[in-house]
Amino acid sequence: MNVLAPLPNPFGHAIITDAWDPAGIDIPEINARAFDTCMQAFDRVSSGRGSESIVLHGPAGSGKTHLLGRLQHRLITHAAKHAPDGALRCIFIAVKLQTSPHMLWQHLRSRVADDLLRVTEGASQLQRLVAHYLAANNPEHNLRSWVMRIRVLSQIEDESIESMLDEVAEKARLGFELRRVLSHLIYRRNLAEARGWLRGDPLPEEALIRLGLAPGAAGEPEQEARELITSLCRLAGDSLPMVFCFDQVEALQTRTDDASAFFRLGQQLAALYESDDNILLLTCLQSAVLDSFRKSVRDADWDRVARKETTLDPLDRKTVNILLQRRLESVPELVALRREQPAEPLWPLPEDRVAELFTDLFKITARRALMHAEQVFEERRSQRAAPEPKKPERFLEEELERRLLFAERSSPSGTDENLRHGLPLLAEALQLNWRSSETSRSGVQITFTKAGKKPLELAICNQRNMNGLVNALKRLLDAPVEGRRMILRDPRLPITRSAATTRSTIKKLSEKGVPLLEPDREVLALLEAIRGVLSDARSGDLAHEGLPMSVGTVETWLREALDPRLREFLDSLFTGDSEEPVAEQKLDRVQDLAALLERRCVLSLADAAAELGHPAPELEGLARANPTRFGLLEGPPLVLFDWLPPAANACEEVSP
Amino acid sequence: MVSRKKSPPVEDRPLDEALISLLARHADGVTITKVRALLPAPYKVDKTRLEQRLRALESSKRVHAWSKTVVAPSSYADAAKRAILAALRESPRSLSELKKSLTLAVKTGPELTKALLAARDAGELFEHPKVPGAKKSVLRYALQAPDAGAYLAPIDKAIDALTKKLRGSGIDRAAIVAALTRSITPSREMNGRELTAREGNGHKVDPRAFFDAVLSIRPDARAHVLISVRDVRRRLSWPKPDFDDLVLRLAREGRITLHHHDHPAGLPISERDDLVADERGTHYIGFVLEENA
Repeated sequence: MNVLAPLPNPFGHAIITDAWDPAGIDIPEINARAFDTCMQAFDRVSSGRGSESIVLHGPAGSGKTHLLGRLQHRLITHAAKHAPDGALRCIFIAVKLQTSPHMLWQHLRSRVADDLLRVTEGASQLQRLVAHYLAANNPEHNLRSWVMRIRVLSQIEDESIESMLDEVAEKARLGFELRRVLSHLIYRRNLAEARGWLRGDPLPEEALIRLGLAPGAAGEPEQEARELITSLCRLAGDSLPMVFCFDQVEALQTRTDDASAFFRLGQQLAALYESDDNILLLTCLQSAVLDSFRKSVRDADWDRVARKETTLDPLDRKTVNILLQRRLESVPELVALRREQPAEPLWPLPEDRVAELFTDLFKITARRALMHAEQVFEERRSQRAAPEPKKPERFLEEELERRLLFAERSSPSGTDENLRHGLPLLAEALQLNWRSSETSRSGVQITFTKAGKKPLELAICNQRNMNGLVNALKRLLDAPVEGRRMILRDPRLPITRSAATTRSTIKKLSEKGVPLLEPDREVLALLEAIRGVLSDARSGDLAHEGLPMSVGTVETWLREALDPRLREFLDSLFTGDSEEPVAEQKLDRVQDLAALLERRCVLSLADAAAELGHPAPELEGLARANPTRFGLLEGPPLVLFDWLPPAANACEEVSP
Repeated sequence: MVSRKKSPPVEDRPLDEALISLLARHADGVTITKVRALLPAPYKVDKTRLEQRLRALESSKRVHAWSKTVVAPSSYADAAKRAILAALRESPRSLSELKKSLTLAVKTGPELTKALLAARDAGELFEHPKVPGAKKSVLRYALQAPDAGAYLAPIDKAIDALTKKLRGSGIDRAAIVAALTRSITPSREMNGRELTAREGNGHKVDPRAFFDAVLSIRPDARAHVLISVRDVRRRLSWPKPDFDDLVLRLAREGRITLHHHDHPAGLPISERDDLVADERGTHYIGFVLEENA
């Protein structure tokens, strides 16, 4: 009988994708030097000796994200459990830079919001941050009692807390809106809206009113995001460090020689470093791009971004043995079996199968060691030779399928980033020869140019607040068109009937040759999934058979296997080939139906026709023509519903 | 009588932020008098207060004083280097031409020359010595290494003279050039022989020279930072096989740890050639010094 057959494989989960992933088996010997460097820098910041910054680099799979996870666990999760006063040692923010280099502050804002609202041991980082500030300024209660007090606050405002929050806001020079939203988050009122505001998501008027905020015209989102983050740094004060971890720096680039992406990141990191005296910046990238990153960043910015550099080395034989042994020892049944094999320290892994990974020069990464060990263990367990390695194409198809499940559930608030990051990436990957550049001129966000073609200008208008939307559309109307211009809007954000000015402005734009294009949900989901795959490949985090897959391989595959729906969408953008322009009345009816179903979710065709005052056969035709937008149950009676994609695995909801 | 309300005095922190923000726009340095003039209205403070805040920022290294009257967001060395490299992007220049082209607020004094020589020593720019025989040639600096061909005039002259001398013996110029080439090409029979220091092409393949070059490029090399093989290769200008052999040997001895490139096939050939390759075809982009280096 094969004694290994019933046992779990101890080498699974080789890849850590997020610094907030639960701590698995950590091997302190791996990257110990880099970890100590980070902790020393942290100690300097937390003792008030000014901000610090470290650039961490190593080969793909050397454990950069794992190191960030180890830091997070030490500074946050472990501290929350074990610190006697429930004290927060720092605010920890982990950011994967899968975004457009022109949305860096907005991207950072949404990640800061998400991480601030993560709950550990019953309280979020934001609650602990406020408790820390209150304790520092109101020492009659200790920190733990402030944490406990804030955790159990009811939704009714407590006058004493409110007046202290006012003091907090004044000392930290917080803006009015942030002050208001903080109250909502502390008292857990209007949580979804408050969280959305903190993230920088576009909110409809009614949501802003519920938050007590004026639904006025939106400012410049990058500048607003920067100011918010600077305010939050001030809120942390001198004694509470803010640790910002930037991972997947390479994902900012649309191509390998894209120096401007790194240049912009350098500016942002330097500005963040300068924004306060309590910042620890950790920037992670692959060794292979270190040179190019260094050359692309201005010297003055580099001085701030890289006060220290530290390398994550590949592992030598001795460290790999420690790694594999610890993993083996994590399975209790294996421990007992291994005691019977004292001469084979890596049993049940044959020594020669581990040795084959090394040469006298070549050392391997932790990821490679674990994935190889997983395979060898599987062979021993099943007593069969390892199956043929999956072909790269098959691997990529499955990877894309898996990511689509999550992408289909993503919210319209991510569509701006999806389009602004994804379209240039995809245009480059497919070798369409359309070069992208970002502008903030006249409401246009991206301009694509190609020799011999008119430039293509894309205005991405996903405002939910109709005032904001109509202002953006009017800017487009007033601006001269230099090439072809299009408006992109998420179809999940219908323009209601009551927004008559908005609809008439869209009509005027259409007459001027600036059409509104609403990409299918499926197209947006595909774009989201593909940009994730490309970004991971560029960052060395897309591992196939233990080895990082090159972005070139992914791009080649995409050129051959691109989903026809996405190809059709790209054609409609870049070649201008599309079906006959849709009649304005039909467009309005689609919007009406979408808005009705967003509100009512499910209703019969007859009821929808009555409520909208449109003929039922026409509405039925529209629903059938847009199957990814409207759900239809044949009946009789025919029923319409707001179609949502199938649920992915349950995602942990974070709340204050 | 209308009384003017006095605005409350501006606090240190917002004043400091305003100063840093202003200086960020003056990377070439700016006089303190001009700083005072450029500060927006709410932050216009008296000279004493301004100087006091600038000194405080200087002590926390957020501002750098280049002289008693000039301040900047970065050190003079950094700014000078940046400005020099930017000027040299346009064309090679002599020291006096460089000084004329710089827009630094301070461009006289030994510090500028120091920055220039430091950049030279770091391999970020190259000296172009005077070309022998060229009347108006002066020492210049450039971002690319000089073309060796420009300096061959004396050798060419010498070959001409030797050709004249040996013509009577039936030896022509081509034969002299061939003999010269043979005499300066190093022997390839080095495999298997222990490398210590050896002569070849006028250089010594000497581990000490290697580590000296590393430390001159990165004085912090012993702090476990990644050293680019390309940077060291360019500094030493050794033939590729010799350089690569030494790097691989030092890795085998455990004196350095190599970092490999995952996808060298995706690189342009010229970039790939800058890497060090082993016999298995693994390409290495850099290394860190080990404690026994």
